[in-house]
Amino acid sequence: MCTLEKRGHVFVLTLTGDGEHRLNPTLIDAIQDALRRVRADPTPGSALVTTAKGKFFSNGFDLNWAKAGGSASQERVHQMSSKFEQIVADLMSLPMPTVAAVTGHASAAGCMLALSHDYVYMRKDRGFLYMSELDIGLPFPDYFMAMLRSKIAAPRARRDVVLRAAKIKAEEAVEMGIIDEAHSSPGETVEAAMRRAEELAGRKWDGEVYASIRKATFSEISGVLGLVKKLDIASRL
Amino acid sequence: MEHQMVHLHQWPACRLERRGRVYILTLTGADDHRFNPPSLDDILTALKLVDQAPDAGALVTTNEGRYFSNGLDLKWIKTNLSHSALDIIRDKFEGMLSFMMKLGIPTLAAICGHAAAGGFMLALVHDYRFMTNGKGVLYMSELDHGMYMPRSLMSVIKSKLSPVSLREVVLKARKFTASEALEFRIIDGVYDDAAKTIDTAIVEAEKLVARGWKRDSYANLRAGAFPEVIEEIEARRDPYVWRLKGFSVIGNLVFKQ
Repeated sequence: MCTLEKRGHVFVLTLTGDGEHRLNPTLIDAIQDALRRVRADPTPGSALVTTAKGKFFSNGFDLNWAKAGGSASQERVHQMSSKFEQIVADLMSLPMPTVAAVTGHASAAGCMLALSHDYVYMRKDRGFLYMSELDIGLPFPDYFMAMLRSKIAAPRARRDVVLRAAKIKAEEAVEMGIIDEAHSSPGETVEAAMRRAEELAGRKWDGEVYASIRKATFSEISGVLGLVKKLDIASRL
Repeated sequence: MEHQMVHLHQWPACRLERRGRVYILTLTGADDHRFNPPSLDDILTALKLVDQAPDAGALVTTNEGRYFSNGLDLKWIKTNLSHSALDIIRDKFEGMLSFMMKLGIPTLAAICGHAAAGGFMLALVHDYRFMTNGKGVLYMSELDHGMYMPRSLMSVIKSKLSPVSLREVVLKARKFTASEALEFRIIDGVYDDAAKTIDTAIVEAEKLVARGWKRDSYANLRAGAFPEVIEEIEARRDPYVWRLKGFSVIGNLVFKQ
């Protein structure tokens, strides 16, 4: 499902296998477990890179699993959405810089997973970012929309992602200000992400301070995720 | 398959046509398409027809002549100050803007001429903007005319402009040519003449119609992507305020200086 390793100062979370890395409860639990282990490591000056094997970064929630629930299919979608919200909250409060190395298609919740990272690097030779909900006729969970508003500031870019359900390739995504860098191949994308992560880890920032500043920067999504406590500043004095 | 343009209705201020599932609203006449109660009534009637048409898949708004619209009819307002002019015109103008924001189909503006103040706002409230290259400019003239920007209208402007563009548009009252507007990402495309602008808008509209989106999904996502605009328009937290030569107008009150 996923592996966690540490290379130098960088944790590398990899979604394994050649499939679509659909975010069903099992995979979500595995990711959550990995993030727990990342947090539990007391070494300061670290960073996280999240990546995936195969053609897909992640194609979103496991809608087949939901459909298989028959009358409980709505409930299953809700279950995945709630569980995934925890991952997003974990990433938005992770006490270290985070880099997504998007090595394939990232759709819907998969796109959210990428955008939950501080930096997004993506391969340009194939794959696209795609919020598919409008095409499927599904609503956005509140926290999806809040994330998009927090991370995609430019009105036309937001319009293209949300209201045009555009399939956006890496170079276009860079131009639209949605991601940071586009690279020629999955290998190069991961390497560049690792270099960035090492550089950020090398700044030896206090993890809790970093997380607090991240939450303040993206205050809307942090608020929606319940991450902001009014006494955040006072509690550090 | 190329659909025929079907003429649906002509009002004094505008005309409604349909090409396939794309409805086309044209602000008619060679004048500057100012917004006053009669013209706003016509436009809103047309918009309601589109909203109620079960086959409507997209709306293209465009204009005849050299003006998209120069905004609110200040002459009408000055003449009717003693008769709650600002209340009346505000109801209708902001009603049109919030109606557009709630419409459950993609909206595209084919701007074939000047769009100033309220006219620029009407263009901004659309999801997509295409403009004709030439003498037409986009111009938020309020600063030049001593008009305050109420939060209702500022919310429309802020929703569609990046911080840098916002400063240029609102705090500089800059006049943008089509190419400049494209450069500042205020519009989506620039075309050589009105016919090409309108045609491109219709072709884009047809592509969007072909996606088969549900109306409530679309409206809901637009409200999510551009939050609080409808709420701010409907909240009416600020009066319209003008500082003119010799007097000020605040809401329905006129103060001589």
